[in-house]
Amino acid sequence: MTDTTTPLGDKGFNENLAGGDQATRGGVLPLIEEMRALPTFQRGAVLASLMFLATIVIQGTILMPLILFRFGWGYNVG
Amino acid sequence: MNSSLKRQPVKQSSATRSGQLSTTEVLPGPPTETSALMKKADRYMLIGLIFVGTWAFSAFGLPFLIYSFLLMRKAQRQGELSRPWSVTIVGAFCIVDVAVNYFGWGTDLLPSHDTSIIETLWTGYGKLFDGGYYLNYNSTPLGGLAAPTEKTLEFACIFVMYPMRIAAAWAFLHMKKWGLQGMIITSWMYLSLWFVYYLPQISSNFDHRWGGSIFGSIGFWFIGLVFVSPFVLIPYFYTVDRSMFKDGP
Repeated sequence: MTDTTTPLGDKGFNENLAGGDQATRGGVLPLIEEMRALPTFQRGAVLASLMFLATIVIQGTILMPLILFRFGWGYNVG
Repeated sequence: MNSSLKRQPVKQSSATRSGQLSTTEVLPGPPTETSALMKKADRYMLIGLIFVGTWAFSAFGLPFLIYSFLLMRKAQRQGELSRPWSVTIVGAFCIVDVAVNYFGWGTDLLPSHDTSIIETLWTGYGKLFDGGYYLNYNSTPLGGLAAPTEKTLEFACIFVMYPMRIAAAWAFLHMKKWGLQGMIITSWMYLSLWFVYYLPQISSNFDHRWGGSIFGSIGFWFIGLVFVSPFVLIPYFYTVDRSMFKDGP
C-alpha cells in the first residue's frame, strides 16, 4: 500500500485551496465564516474584488452623473 | 433546510492506519440544482449588474443588488444557496468590470458617440482624466476617440474579449467548469491587452492623453486602478478548488 499522507495533511493539497472541503461541508458557509476559512491569499483576492466592485459602484453613482451634470448643459464639446 | 433539492454528497477522505485511503460520506453538500429562489436572486443580481455596468447609471442598479443579496441570504437560511459567497463576489466583480469597459468603449466605437449624452459623458471624462477623449473628439472618419492605436484595441475587446469574458463570468457564477476555464483564458487576454498594449500606447501619447486633462495621470489611475481584475484574480482562478465546478453546458 502506498502512503497517502502528504506534507499538507491526509487530504492533500485540496484542503488548502479556496472553497475546498471547509467551504462545502454541510452546504455553503455564511459570508464571514467563509472569508475566515479561506487561505490568506484567496481572502485577499476576494476582498480586493469586493473593494474594487464598491469603487466602481461609487464611481458610477457619484462621479459619472457629476460629469453629466457638470458638463451636460451649454458645454462646447467641439 | 429544503430537502426537495438534489444534493451532492460531500465525501470526507481519511487515511487508515495501514495507509489505505478510505472514503466516508458525511453531511450533504450544496444543492446540485438551482432552486427557484436562487434563480430569482440571480435574475435580480444580473439586472443590478447591468445597471452598475453602465457606469453612468449605477444608482439604479443598487436596489436590485441589495434585494438580490437579501434573497441569497434567505436562500442560505433555507439551505438552497448553490455557490460559495467568494464565487458570487468574484463573478459579480468580473461582470461589472467588463460591462463598464464594454459599455464605455462600445459607445465610443459605435455610432452612439454622436449622441448628445455619450458625447457629453466622454468629453467630460476626457477633460477630467484622459485628454484623448476631449481633444479632437469625433474628428476622425470612425468618430469617437481620435487615437487610432486605441481604436484597434477597442475592436479587439468589444468584438472578442469582452463578450467572451461576460459569458464566462456568468457560467462561473453558475459553477460551470467551462466558465472557470473561460475566466482563466480571458484573464490572460485581458492582462495582455491591458498591460502590453493599452498602457504603452496611452503613456507614449502622454501630452495628448494624461497631459491634456485636468487631473492628469493621478486622475487616470484613480479611475483605471479598479480595472485590474486579471492581475488580482489569475492566481485565484488557478488555485480555486475545481471539484466544486460542474461539467456540462
